[in-house]
This record gives sequence, structure tokens and C-alpha cells, in this order.
Amino acid sequence: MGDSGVDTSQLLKGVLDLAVLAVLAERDSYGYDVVRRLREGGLSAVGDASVYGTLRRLHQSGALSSYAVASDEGPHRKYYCLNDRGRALLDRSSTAWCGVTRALETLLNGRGCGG
Amino acid sequence: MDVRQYAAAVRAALGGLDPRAAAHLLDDLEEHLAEVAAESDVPLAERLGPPESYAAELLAAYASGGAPVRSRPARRRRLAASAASVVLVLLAAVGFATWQLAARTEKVNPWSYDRLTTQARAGQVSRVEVTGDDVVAIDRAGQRHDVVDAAPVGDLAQTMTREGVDVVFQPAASSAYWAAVLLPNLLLLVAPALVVGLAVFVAVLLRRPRPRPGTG
Repeated sequence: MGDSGVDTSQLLKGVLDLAVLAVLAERDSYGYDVVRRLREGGLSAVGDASVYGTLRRLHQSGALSSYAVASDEGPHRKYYCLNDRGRALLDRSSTAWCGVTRALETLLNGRGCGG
Repeated sequence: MDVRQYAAAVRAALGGLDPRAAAHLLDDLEEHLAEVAAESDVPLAERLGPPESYAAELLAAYASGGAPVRSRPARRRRLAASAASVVLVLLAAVGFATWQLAARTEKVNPWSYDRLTTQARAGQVSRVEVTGDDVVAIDRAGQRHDVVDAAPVGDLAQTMTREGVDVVFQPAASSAYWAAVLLPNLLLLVAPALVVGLAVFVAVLLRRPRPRPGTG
């Protein structure tokens, strides 16, 4: 129905938590750095507000901890990092994700990811 | 539109949000936007879209699947509704108490002292209640009559007893009596003040909350 951009952003909604957790599992980051790394990782359609809102929600729900780091260029940066709850959530989510992708690969029957 | 203006517009767009949720969601919005702005010379509104859409996307990401984000008007409405029901129940209780009291002390046409003695002689009086200087006759039908210009209480008691009518002396102005008479009336006096107070309370609660720049 819609163009590919709309489809991608719809799909992203479901997996943004997982993507953010995965990026932070690699190393601690501040908000805009997470956005940049997700885009560099291939999620070019990801919205700044969506990432920022997701970070705040994961932080509120206790999956992320944060700390302030002084920055040369301006005000301090708030760095986010995974805590035990966040790591457990990432484990559960990635297991679920793998199940879904395997199922979809079968369903798409080799049609996906080609063009 | 610089970072401060953009952030203020985003906060304004989320003005209806519960203040604590808003404070948490927008905790370091300015710092975050400053990072975005620092990366390019393209204006913020051009890179991120209008602040209203940014706010909507922010809220959608924050509210999805996570803790429910309750808006303040909804919470205020619930508060106002419970306050209103409390006052309604209170008013109903006062109304009921007053009605009870009125029913109990209902007095049909007053009797003169002569009428009382005539009725007593005819066996139509079942009881006479004396409360201080007030004399109330209760006839066979159970109706109460104020006795006006009654004889001195001693004489009255003698006459009534002679006619076979019970005379009941009630302590005048006992605390229980005054409580029964005064309290409901006092509450009735207070009720309009309560209603006005409630109206003001509800008006304050339902007033559209204004965005508070600088929270968080």
C-alpha cells in the first residue's frame, strides 16, 4: 500500500527496543550517539524522536541506567548503559526475534532480501 | 528556531501530559537537541520536522508497550468526579436526616389548653409530652399538637393524670436533643458553601493545564 519508507518505519516500531538494547550492549552511548549508530548500522529510516522516546521509556522501566559525562563542546552528556534487567531483556528479545525471522524466512520462501 | 525554541515548542505540545511523566520523558531534551544541532547547519525544524510531530513521535515511542502514560486531564476528571460524588452523598445524608427530624416533629394544628382538656376528657389524648415550657399532646391517631397557653406544668400534669393521660417529662435542651435539632440544620447551612466550594474545585481541576517550560 504505502511506499517502502512507510513500511520500514512500521516494521521498526516493533524492533526498535531490541535495536537500541543491542547498540547499548556493545558500548554505552548518549542519546544522539545511539541514533547515529543505529543509522550507521543500516536503520536509516529511524526517527530521532522515536529513539529518544524509546531510551527514556527503557530507562523509566528500569532496563537502562544512566550517568552524566562532562563534554568539551557543551553541556554534560547523559550516557545510557544496560543493567542486569536490560541484559535479561535483550536476551529474551533476541531469542524471540530469531524465532520470528526464521519463521518469516520460511514464509517468504527465498523471496525476501533479494531486491 | 534554535534549540531552546524548538524544545519549548515540543514541551508545549506535550502540555497535557502528566507532569511527572513529562518531566521524565523530557529530562534531557535540550541536551539531546543540542547534539543534533551541533552536527549540521541545517535548521532543526528542517531536520526533525515540526516540533508538534516530533512531540507526537516522542510520545508514541515513550508510551508504546511501556508504562501507561496518563494525561493530566483524565486524572483530574476522575478526581473531580469522586469529589462530586462525596458531596452528593453528604447532601443526601443531610437531606434524609432533616426529613426524618421533620417527620418526627410534625405537628398538626395546635390546641388551646381548653381544647386539650376537652379532648382528654373525651379520651382522645394518648400522651402529653412536656419539654421545658413546651407542651405537646399526642392524640389517639398519633398526631402531635402543640398546646398553646398551657396551664402551669404542675396543674396540667394533675389534670391530665386525672383524665388517665400519661404525662411524660423530657429533659429540656439535653445535648442529644440539641444535637438532633441543630446538627442537620447546621449541615444544611453548610451545604451551599460546600456546593460552591465544590464548583470552584471542579473548575480549577478542569482548567486546561498550561505547559510549564523549564520542567525537568
